[in-house]
Amino acid sequence: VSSSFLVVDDSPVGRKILRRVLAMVGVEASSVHEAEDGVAALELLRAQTIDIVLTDIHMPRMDGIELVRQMRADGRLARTAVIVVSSDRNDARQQELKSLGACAYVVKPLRPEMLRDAVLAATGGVA
Amino acid sequence: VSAFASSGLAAVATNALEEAAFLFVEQDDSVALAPQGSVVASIGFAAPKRGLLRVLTDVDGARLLAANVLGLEGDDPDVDASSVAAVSELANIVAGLLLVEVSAPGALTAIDIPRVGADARNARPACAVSFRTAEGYPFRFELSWEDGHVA
Repeated sequence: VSSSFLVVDDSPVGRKILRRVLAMVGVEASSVHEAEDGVAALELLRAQTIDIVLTDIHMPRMDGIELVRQMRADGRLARTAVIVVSSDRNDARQQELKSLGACAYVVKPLRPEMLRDAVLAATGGVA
Repeated sequence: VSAFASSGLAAVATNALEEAAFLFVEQDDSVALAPQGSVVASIGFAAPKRGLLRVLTDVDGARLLAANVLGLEGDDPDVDASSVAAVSELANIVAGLLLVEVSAPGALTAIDIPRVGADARNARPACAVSFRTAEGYPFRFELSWEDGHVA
C-alpha cells in the first residue's frame, strides 16, 4: 500500500529535503505533490486525493496553522493526516497544532527516523 | 537574553551545520565575510524580544551547503539553483534552535520567514561567530537585538 503526499513549504530547498528524506527512509509514495504555501496547498488538496500533508508553519499568504484549521473545517479534508515539519520548537505552537488535529510535529533539523515514525503513525504503519 | 553570547551562538550554529548539512566546522575568527559579495540570509524572530539572525557564506560555501542538505554531487545543476535557498533554510533552522536558548520556558516566541540578502537592522551585531568547514569554506553567524543591545 502506498500513500500520496503533499509537501507544503515556502522554501524550495525545504521541499526537496522532505522529498529526499521520504525516499531515504523507504516510505512508499504513490505521488509527492508540492505547494509553496497554505493557499496553494488547499487548492491542490481540493483537486487531488492526498493521504498525508507534510507542512511547514511559517509561510507567506497562509501559514501552516491556518492551513490545518481550514482543512479541519472542510468536510472532505477533515480527516486527511497532517504532519507538521518546522524549525519552530515553541511548545505552545506544537500544542495548538495538535489540538487542531495535526497527528505529529517534527522539528528541523530533520531526523529521518522521526519523519519515518510520524508517517508510519499517520498511516497505521502501512506507508 | 543579555547573557546569551558568542559561545551560545557558536554551539547552536555548529549543531545546525552538523545535523542539517553534515558540515563539520571549526571556529575561525580570521574569516572575513562582508554582506557585499557574500551569500546572505536574514531571519527575524521574537523571543519575545525582537532579534535578527544573519547567516553569511561565500558562493562556494553556499554550493557545498546545498549539495550536502540535498544529498547531491557538487556538479549537479540543482546545486547552483538551490544554493541561496539552502543558506536561507540554514538560517531558519539556526533561528529555531536559537529561540530555545534565548527564551524562557513557556515564553511566547515567533520566527519570521527568512529573507535572502542583508538586513540593515543587523548593522551592529550583538554577537557573531565565524567558522571554516573542513573543506575550507567560510560561514559567519551574526545575532542582533532590535534595541541595539550588545552582549
